[in-house]
Amino acid sequence: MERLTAHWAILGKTPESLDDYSVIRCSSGAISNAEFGMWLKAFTSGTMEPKALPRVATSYFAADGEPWLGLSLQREPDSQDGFHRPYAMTYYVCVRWADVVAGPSTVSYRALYEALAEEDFSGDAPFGLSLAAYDERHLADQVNGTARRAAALLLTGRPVCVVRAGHLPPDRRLDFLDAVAALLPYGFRHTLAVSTWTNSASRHRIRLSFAEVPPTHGAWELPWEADDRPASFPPQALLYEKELERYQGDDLCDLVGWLGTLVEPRDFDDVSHRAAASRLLRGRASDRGTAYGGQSVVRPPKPSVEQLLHQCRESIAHAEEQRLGALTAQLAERARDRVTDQDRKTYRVFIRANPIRPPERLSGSAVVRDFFEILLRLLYAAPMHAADVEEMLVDLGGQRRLEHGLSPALLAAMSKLLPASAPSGRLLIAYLQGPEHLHKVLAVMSEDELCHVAVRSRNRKVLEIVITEADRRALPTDPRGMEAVRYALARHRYLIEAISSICAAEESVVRYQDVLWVGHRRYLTSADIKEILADLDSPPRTFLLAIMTLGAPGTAPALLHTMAGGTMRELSMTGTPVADTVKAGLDRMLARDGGGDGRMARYRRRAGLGRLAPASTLGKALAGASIVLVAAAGALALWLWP
Amino acid sequence: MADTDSAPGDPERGREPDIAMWGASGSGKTAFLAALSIALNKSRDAGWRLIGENAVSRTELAKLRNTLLQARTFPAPTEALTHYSWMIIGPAETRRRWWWPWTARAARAPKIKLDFLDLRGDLYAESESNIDKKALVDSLVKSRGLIYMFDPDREARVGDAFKHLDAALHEVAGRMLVGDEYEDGKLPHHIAVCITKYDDPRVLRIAMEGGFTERDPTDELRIPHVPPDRVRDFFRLLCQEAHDHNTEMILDLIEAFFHKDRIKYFVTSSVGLFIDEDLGRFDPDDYLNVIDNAGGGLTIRGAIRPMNVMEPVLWLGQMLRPGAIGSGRWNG
Repeated sequence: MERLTAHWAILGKTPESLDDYSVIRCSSGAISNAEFGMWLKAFTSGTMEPKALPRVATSYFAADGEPWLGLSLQREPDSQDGFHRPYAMTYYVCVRWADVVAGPSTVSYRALYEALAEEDFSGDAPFGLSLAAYDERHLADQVNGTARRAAALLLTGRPVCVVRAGHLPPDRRLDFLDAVAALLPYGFRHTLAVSTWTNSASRHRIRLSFAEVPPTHGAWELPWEADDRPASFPPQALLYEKELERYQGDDLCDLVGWLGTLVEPRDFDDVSHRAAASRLLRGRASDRGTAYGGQSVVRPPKPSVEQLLHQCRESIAHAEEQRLGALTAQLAERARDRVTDQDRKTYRVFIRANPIRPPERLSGSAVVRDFFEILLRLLYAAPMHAADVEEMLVDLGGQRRLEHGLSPALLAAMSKLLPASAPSGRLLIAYLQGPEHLHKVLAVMSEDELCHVAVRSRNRKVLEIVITEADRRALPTDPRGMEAVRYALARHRYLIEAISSICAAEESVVRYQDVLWVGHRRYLTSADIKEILADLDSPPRTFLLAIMTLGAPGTAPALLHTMAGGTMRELSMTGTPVADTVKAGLDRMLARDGGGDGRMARYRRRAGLGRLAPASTLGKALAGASIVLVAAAGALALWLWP
Repeated sequence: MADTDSAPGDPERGREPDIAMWGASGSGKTAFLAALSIALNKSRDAGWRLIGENAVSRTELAKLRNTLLQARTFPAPTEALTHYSWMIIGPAETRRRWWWPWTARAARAPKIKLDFLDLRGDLYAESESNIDKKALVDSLVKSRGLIYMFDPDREARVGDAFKHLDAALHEVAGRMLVGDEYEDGKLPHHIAVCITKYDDPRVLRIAMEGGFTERDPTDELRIPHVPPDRVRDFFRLLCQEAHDHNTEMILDLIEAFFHKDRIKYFVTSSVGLFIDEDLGRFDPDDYLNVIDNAGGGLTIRGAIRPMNVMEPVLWLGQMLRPGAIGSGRWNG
């Protein structure tokens, strides 16, 4: 007996309601009322027909990137809406895919349906469903030629619609749908929507269903228990069907059991997944032929990685070190096999959904550390990279991420697996381990290495650690330290690449301010500005704004000239007549009252302007300041113009 | 076993409805469709027939007819976007050869293709991220004719027609009018505005008390009807009587978005008024054709006489036929 947490909803109406169908009650928690409504309506089988009720259907969806499997039961109407029309109520449960595949046994549609039927759909708490174990024998007993053909046709990627089965009761239909799914690797249930009835005039997303007539477009019409196989039968489906036909009796039961262990999520829309299913079945047939000389003996299926992880999680929770050691050995064996990226993704989804938190008394356990080491090998491709640490924090840290310390055993395993070539990852792990560890790691890093790590990692936390460390080292009382920091910052372009890729505009300005302040410890002089901008091609606008926030009095001309010079260099205009004109313009803009009078007068004469009335000294000062500001703004606009 | 199409994937590939239904939940969209074939059968202009173009549509047509004629009740609330591919075939006209005018020969029967999209009423109110809603708006953009169902009964009780129409119109207009294709800024569709449930006592009473009804001297049953030139004013009055003040703006909204000469107003009833067979004519004291049954549902009491059900469809069909006046699909 498997026990799963299920969220639930009821889609329907209230008596006398004038509204359309909506979710009238649902469990609280992981899935909102609106999400339930959206997914239930997205997987409708068509307008209710009393003769098709009760109707059972499955669906799937993802919430926050986490896959879910759902099953609905639409019951016969017993009330009317405000327009006196009978309406049907749909009772729906959904479970996390990771939970479905994590248990010792997988779950059949029938088991889910029977568990749903037991519930009273009251209150607002999720259900704890007690599900019958995956019954290979029962499923194998339901298999007939139509089921084999339906399974084979599903592997063409197109929906299958079973017709001429109006005499079958809903229970029998559900068993058939379950049997078809059982003839495919279990992971296909991840994207398999089935229904005991569909209306072919409706747009629906059901992949396998019964209907009165088949849809006009796109689906395979499969008459119930018809032997004829037309010439248009696709070859890949023919192969799969013939392969299935080789299994009868106990062999078929074993096959269903084996397919039930293939829980890696598979997508019917992915041609490679469909092809892989055919290969798997052929591969199994060939294994049986070689290993057992054609005898119909089947090796007991290995537990899936998810099942092992589930058991490991249990043993950690109960502090069963010995059992964990044995399970870890099995996991290690699986980690040595080929693990695809898709597998890793699945395992990570599982781990996110089922966080592993060792109890305090196992904090120093070597067995737990070994387990985490194997887990990390399964979850992330070797060699590990610094970026994987961020992923680890999401996958293994759960909602709490950096705010709370991760298990020391996990951190130790991370630390062990990260190569020395991933200093940012090491910095992050050291930070998670605590100030002492961080200090130790930082102590052996030069200023240049620090800046290099910040630029390479482009990680917010690493950037914060580096700036804080640079600030600690660049003390005015230690000229050598300051010089080293300033040099390292300049060499690494004041961390522009890191800051601009991590921070939004406002935050960027603040970060650049921090960097410039750490490097100079004073308002920037004209010489500083020239030095900073001399080696920077096209500095970001936020960086220029940061310079302005730290510019000392009287540095505007230097800033403008440097910016203009940089622009002309960039545009290859240096030495051209235009460059001279720009320089003359800048001189004029920045001219002071005294020195500028003659030039201003010449300008006025050229422009045909008369001499303005003499202004007071204060007025002149204000006017001069305004001109400088306007000129600076104009030049800045020119500089920033794309 | 057969492959029902050569191309996998989208079940409605490349096939958008010519005519889309538009109306709130319970406004009578599906009942209207169910009554269509009965209306055509009962038409005085004998010879019009409605057929399904494929097995699915034929089955659905039969189910809808049976619901009204056999079960004598109304279709269940629509739960999913439903696509009907139907065709109306008219009586064959006769033609004479110019070079031998003394004998006539039968010409080809007129055929009007009707691709209907029926939907649950609240779909218009949903976000466009909803897959069905997206499909719906896509189909509205590509369709050429609209049947807008205005249910005075619902408006008197709920009053959400404006909200739904306004939201949907703006979405369609946002998709179609942003470019330069329609220089006059109007949607290119033809729209049949249908006031539904004329058989409802509340609606008929407003029509009669407001002086909108007339008797057709050729109608033996003496059923009061609203003459075509007064339907627009009747519609405006019903909008004013609605529960929601915004409903008043519906007529202006429609005329703001569509060409006036592409809008036509109809007063409709899917089942018509009850006529006592003994009396043989309309009785203002006994005309309810829909009554409550013991189970709390509705039962159609007497003969089904759809009113103005085929007319909007034929009008749209004629407008949309290639070569018809005003049928230029995208001539704005």
